Amino acid sequence: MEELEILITDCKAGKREAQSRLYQLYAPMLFGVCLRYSRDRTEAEDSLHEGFVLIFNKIDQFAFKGSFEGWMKKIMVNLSLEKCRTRFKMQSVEDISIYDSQLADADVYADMNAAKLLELIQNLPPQYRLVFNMYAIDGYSHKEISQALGIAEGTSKSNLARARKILQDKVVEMGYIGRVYAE
Amino acid sequence: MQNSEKKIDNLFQDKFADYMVVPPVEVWDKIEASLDEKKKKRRVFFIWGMSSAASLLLAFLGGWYFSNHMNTSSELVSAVTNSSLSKVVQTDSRAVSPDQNILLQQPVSKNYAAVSSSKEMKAVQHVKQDETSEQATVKPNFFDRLLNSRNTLLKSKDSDYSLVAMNSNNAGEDLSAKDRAIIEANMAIAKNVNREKKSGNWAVGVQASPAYRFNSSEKTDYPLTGTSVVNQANSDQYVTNVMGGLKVEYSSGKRLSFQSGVSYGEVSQRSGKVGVAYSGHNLFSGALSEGVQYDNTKNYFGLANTTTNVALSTNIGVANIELPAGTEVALASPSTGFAREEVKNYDFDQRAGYVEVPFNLRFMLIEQRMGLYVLGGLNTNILVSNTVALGSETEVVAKGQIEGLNPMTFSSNLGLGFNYAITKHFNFSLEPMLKFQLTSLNSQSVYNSKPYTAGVFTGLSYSF
Repeated sequence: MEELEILITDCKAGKREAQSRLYQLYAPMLFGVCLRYSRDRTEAEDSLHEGFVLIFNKIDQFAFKGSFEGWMKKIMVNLSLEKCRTRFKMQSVEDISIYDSQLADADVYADMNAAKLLELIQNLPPQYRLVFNMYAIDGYSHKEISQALGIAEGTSKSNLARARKILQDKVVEMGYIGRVYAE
Repeated sequence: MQNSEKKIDNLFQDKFADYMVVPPVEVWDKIEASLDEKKKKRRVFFIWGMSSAASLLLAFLGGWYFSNHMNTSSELVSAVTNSSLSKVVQTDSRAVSPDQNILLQQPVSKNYAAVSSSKEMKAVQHVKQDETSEQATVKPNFFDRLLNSRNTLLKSKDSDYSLVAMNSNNAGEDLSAKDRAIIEANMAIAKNVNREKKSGNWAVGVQASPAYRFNSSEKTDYPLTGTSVVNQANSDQYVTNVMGGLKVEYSSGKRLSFQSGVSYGEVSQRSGKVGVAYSGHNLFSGALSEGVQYDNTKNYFGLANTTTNVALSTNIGVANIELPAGTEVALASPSTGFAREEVKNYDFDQRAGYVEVPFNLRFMLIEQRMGLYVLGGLNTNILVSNTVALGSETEVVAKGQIEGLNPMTFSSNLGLGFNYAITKHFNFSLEPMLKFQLTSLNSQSVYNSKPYTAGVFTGLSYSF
């Protein structure tokens, strides 16, 4: 922890060596985040690039309160949101009850590897991808999501339900194929 | 249902909570390139800031020069006779030769650029002179002149120039799409310039510090010979007072900034006690009454014959004071057995007030909310007050001046500073500073007076 503080302080002072070290330490984790929030690898690389430039420019504002990882992650997530916001219009509320009880119980989940799941996430419509990432993986509440995206809470919930449904179907589909091969 | 929702969420959560992928190498190269670019931009802004400051100064000086110049020319022109006036009009019409009709046929009011061709300018100038001669006493401002001269210009043409009908009232309606585009482009540039300005940081503030002064090794405490000079043998006590003023700061990039401002400080000395006696009461009793001389062993120094003009030699210089007739001054305390009862004890105060204009460079060592920096630079000190007073807290017996003080001196600054950002805009600073006098306060060679000054400035500034 002490070491990290020194590193951050050096980054605040704009030392290139420290910036490089910080990048080496956290780029893999943050690239993982970028990949989840992006449509494809190229977009994720762009996000990582822009995100780190933002991090180095804003690192002055990091007051050593709370986790540094969390702080950086938040910057990346916000950047992804910003990108989506400029590119797509947010969708309106819809009835989510239609998705109830349609989700299958799947034991096939264990077979899934990260690369395949990532592909599923990346193929989601942009707003579903954001909402699902934020809610299911990064632990944001619907209230926080609705504020961050500027949408109604209901929209957030319906988007999540739709995203789940799409993912579920794909997972089952893939799981089924997987089983066939296994047998 | 709840369960299957959880399952799908958990599946992804498990896989992606600590999901790491090593990004391709070129991403870091791109990041580095972006960071370098930012640095370059900052440098450009700094240069831009400096050059704009320089051009502002030039513009100011130019404006000042030309406003003076213009005044004289209008006075001169006012002397022009009617005959030369007609000549002016003649030249005028010649200047607007047919090849410039194109220019003129465009509504002049559209765009001042239309008047900017040099030939046109000449024409306008002539008419301006013409104008000025008509109303010699009135000095219209520049735009009035420009408008007036244009109207005159237009009116002086024959009616075959359709321009006469043009006036500033309908100028707005005549703007062509092209002109509008130009105006818009200019507005955009102006906006951009404003934005760029903001990326450099300006700060203004106030600061003050106690001023502790002490002498350099070159101390002059020998007595001056002469009938009316008293040496202040034990007088190198500088008075601790307050110095302070305004400061302006321009921060070029992240670390380096340039400070200037204006502040006031007094080099003040208060000597030991000076005994003063009035007419009829000699300073010293007994053997030392009249014609007393400097006595090293007894540590006093007196005057034989009191003159009204007395000079006291101190570290800063010779202080000339005008005494009331019949007063005697001695560097002796009434408590010494030699002094008479009537001798009163007074303080001898010297004050040289300086307006200081610093030019400091500040370099941030730690850039955080609580920052640390070093700063150093040069001070130009301008002497604005010079007083010597002999008196107590309640009365001043005599006043005078220190001889030979330089009207302008230079000193160098070196300091360390801490700052704390109270809010986004307000900054508190604490700066221990040392000032070294580079040139002597006194022009007389025997007084090599270069006191050191130490202080701790506390300041508050507003950045924008």
